[in-house]
Amino acid sequence: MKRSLLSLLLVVIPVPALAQQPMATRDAALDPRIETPSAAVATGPVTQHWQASLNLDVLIRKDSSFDVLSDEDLEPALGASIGYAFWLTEALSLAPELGYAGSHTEGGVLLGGAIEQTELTSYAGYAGVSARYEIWEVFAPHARLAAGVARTEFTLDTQVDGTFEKADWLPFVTLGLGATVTTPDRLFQSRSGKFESLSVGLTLEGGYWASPALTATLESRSEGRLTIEQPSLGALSRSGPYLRFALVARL
Amino acid sequence: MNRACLCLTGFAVTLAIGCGNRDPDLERGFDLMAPAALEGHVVFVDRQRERAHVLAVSDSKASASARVLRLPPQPLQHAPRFEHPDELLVLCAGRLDDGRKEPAPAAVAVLESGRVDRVYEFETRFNAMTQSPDGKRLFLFFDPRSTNTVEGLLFNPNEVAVIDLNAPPAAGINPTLRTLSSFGGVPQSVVFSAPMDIAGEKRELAIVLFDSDIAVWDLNHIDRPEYTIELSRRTTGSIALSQVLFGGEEPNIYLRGTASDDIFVINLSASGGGTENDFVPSINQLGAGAGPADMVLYDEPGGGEISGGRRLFVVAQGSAQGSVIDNASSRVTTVPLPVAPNRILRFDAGKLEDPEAQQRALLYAEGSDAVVFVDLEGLEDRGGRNVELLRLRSPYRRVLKLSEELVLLIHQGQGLSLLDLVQRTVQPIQSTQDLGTAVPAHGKLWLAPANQQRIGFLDLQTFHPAEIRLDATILDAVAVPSAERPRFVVTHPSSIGYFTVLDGREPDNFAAAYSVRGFLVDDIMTAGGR
Repeated sequence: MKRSLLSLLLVVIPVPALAQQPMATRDAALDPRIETPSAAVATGPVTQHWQASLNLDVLIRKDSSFDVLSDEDLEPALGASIGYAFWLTEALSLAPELGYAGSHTEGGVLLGGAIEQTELTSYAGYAGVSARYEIWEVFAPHARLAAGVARTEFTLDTQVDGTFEKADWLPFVTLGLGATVTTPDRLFQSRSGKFESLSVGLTLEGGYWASPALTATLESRSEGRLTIEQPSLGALSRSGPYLRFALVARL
Repeated sequence: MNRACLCLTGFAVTLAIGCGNRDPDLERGFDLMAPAALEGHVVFVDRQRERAHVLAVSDSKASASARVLRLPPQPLQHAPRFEHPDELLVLCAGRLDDGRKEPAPAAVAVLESGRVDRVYEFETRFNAMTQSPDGKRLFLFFDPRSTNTVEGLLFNPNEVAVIDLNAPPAAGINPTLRTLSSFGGVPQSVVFSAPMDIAGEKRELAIVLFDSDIAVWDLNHIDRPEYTIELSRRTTGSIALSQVLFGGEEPNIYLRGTASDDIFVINLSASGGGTENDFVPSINQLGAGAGPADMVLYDEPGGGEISGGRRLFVVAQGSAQGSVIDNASSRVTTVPLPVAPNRILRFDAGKLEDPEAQQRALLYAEGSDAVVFVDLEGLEDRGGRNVELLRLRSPYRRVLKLSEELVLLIHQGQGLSLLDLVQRTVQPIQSTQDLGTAVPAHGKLWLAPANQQRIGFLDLQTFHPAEIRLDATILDAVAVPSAERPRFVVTHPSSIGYFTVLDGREPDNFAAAYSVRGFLVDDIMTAGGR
């Protein structure tokens, strides 16, 4: 019990203060549980090269073509990205990044039941670069440019005629501006000096996702003798603004 | 705290931006009428969405792209315009004020392949239309058999309208609306006359049949009042008028009712003045035996003791005799028949021993296994010698005139017969299917039985039957006219629209056949529910 209280005091009370206590008669250098002034950690700015984030990208689909997939105008995508700042100054950094985002949207019954369900699944991989400018230790706006390709799969289930599918690879470019609020430097620094550069934060980013539309033609598997002419369903717009919410870790 | 606020604000903004409303047209289902045909196009009228999907099927290149035309509210029925294969008439009931959408008048929309060419609007929500044989005029009325479909608190069943389809819409003029005067009856049907010489002028009439009365409306002077002529007082009760014949050169109208033993002849002669019309009707009644069931007119050339002139040939229900009535003298001559027919099919053709085309009639009774040929000219003189019986292998239930020389008999159960009116021979065609839906078109007889996958066709020149199997079961069929590429279109069960196009001349040429699937969702992403 006494040992537990002592451990708590060790955490709460700064080590130099503890050293001044007249009761400290034990040889601290010989006791590994007691950190000595010689193990004092560094202070001041830290260098953070790595950045990893878990992203929720909310693509805003105001185009009427998205009505086929949802009665809302949002297409959420979950993803992750990792970047490495290869160029750093005191406030500015440039970091290439690699990322992935996946989304799945299901539309309900359409046309009075003629279409039982629509689905859109997208797997997007991208590479980009972000420029971050640290205004304060805990606040840094950034700009991000990325390009990639998305495997986009559209499925239409009908009441009588079966399922129709269309899949395509669609290139895309995103350009966004945002800001990240992080924990102060060295918040997670251990007594041994580990994790000195670790910080976590929240990112809010807005931008535009530009991509060619997905042109879908009903493609069924004809097992008959006659050729089947099938109309185009039209163009599903894949461009629009987006908002990114991200949990960020920098190291 | 500040970070949480920032995050929540971001989500709130996103949700606010993302709160969209889906196009309501994407929620509404389809309710397609039977397919219709325009020159080179097939048309699907959607009652629910008030649209017409028009697809070209006679182009050299197959296409699944539909042109979608917006129709007036509540389409009720459609019909190709007679003698104008490039136009389709769609009667629409309009929309009452339901508190949600703007009310709209009833209308007849005239569709062409690429557009709604014209819309004739009117306030009365008619539920039936009948065209004149030349497609020039359209008569609108309330069909008493389906007035339960008429919306609204009140309607006047004697209100009718006539549209001149050759003229553009004009408020108050075209259509012309009128409430017919009546003796308590309501219009049952309407018959248009061919041009008749009345009071020195060639004119066309609309004869509106009530149960026991008729209205005679001079369409050449459509603003003049109609004559409503009461026939029932001259009999004991309802007449149930069912047939009208026009005298052609003579200004007579012949009327028959299923509940009367008399034939009524309305003579329209020049008026001596005192009326807005320049002609007046007079009624004559002719005795035609018990229960006349059908009648035809013919011109007796005369000879011997028989004077020439117009004659009426009548058959009666359940009677093995026919009656020839001379309207001029009211003389009735009975002709013994070997069976008791109740229907008459008039045709002009020769026969083996007399190749010259003459006026003849085929007498029949649906459900019978016999037909009777009657040579009408000289019938009063020669009697039974002008009559010839032909027995068939099995009873028939439907008779269809394919030409002046060919009649199709659809038998009860399965199979059909082609009756050569000149040779007076029968060509039996066996079938394993119910053939009640035979459609003559493009020189062939098409058999597209519902819920089957096979479609049969019979060449009407060679009588050679053939059939093909389609990739899906049959729902409905329509023949599409086209000078270059006539087609036969078969629809299949589908929720997004599915049909097969066959070459009208060579249906078994699969290279020229194709299917279209999904035309109802054509361009749905770009155009929404339209």
